[in-house]
Amino acid sequence: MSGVPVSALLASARGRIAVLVLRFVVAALFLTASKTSIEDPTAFATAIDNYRMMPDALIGPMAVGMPLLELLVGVALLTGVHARGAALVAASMLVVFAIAMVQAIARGIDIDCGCFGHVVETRVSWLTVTRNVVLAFACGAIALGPDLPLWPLRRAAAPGRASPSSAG
Amino acid sequence: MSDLPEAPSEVAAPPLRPRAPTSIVVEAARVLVVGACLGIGYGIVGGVPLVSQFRLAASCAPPVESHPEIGWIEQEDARALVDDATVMFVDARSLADYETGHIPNAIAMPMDTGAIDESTAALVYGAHTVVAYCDTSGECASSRRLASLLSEDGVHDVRVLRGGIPQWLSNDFPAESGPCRVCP
Repeated sequence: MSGVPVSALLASARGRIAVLVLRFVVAALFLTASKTSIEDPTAFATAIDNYRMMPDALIGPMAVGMPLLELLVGVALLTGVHARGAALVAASMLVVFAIAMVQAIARGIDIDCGCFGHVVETRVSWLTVTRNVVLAFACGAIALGPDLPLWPLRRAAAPGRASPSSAG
Repeated sequence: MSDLPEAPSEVAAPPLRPRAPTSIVVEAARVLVVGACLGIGYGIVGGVPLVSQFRLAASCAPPVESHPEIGWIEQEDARALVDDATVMFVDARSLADYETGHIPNAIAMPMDTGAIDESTAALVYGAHTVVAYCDTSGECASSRRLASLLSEDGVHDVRVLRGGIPQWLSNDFPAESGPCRVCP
């Protein structure tokens, strides 16, 4: 069966726009999630603890580290600096979150997903699992997509700008 | 001006940079390393939440956040209600766990699927007080789930047994084994 490779589709004009839109959407979600968790690490630690997956010793450090990683991923996706690597990290995080949700559902644990702190309280369900999987695919598209220039700085500077080698 | 080359009608998009196969992984590793450094720094400066502290705070909160009418019941208080005919104990664990050992006259309402069996639930609708318990995994998640479902079904006084069956057995409170005799 012949077909156009995904990377070629994503490199087309429409594909590049789609990748940019996805980048900003995922960035907005990660930045929102990180903001609420950074503001109240204890609440986020409780949310992690509710999943009953992690050893006690790791819950506190995770509650502090994960929001900062989300913040970093969000900034990277927004600015385009290491955006594809950040998308890979984001996809991995989303898959891990989805696995945590599935085990909670399987064990009958009825908890708030803790995804966006107290901004949006959502119970863990197959809907939240599906949302994470869809977002993980979106991150996969960003990771597989073109290495877009730093937006908007490089795009604005690209035409006619002297290269660093010719500047001196 | 006339000898200048004609400007192109459309500016071509800048060519895409060639991608090395490992570049994405290297980028991801950099993001992770920087994230880890930020996390360590933030943890050192701002501190890390202590599990014991927030668990203590959580134990004082209602068992089901969305159902404030559902309350905890302490072990001693529940023990005093075992022989009360108007009080029904419901076991949220699996049937196998129930048959291994349960509170006397408790009804098996396993939360394996996250839903209750309506024919079994009908047995508790006449009770004045319903006490849900489980094995305390996931902070009594099963009994909290069962309590919230019963409350939504119209049972007025629903409690969750703090400490669940493990605490009950360690207190040497009465227990029995075998299948649920009254369950449909």
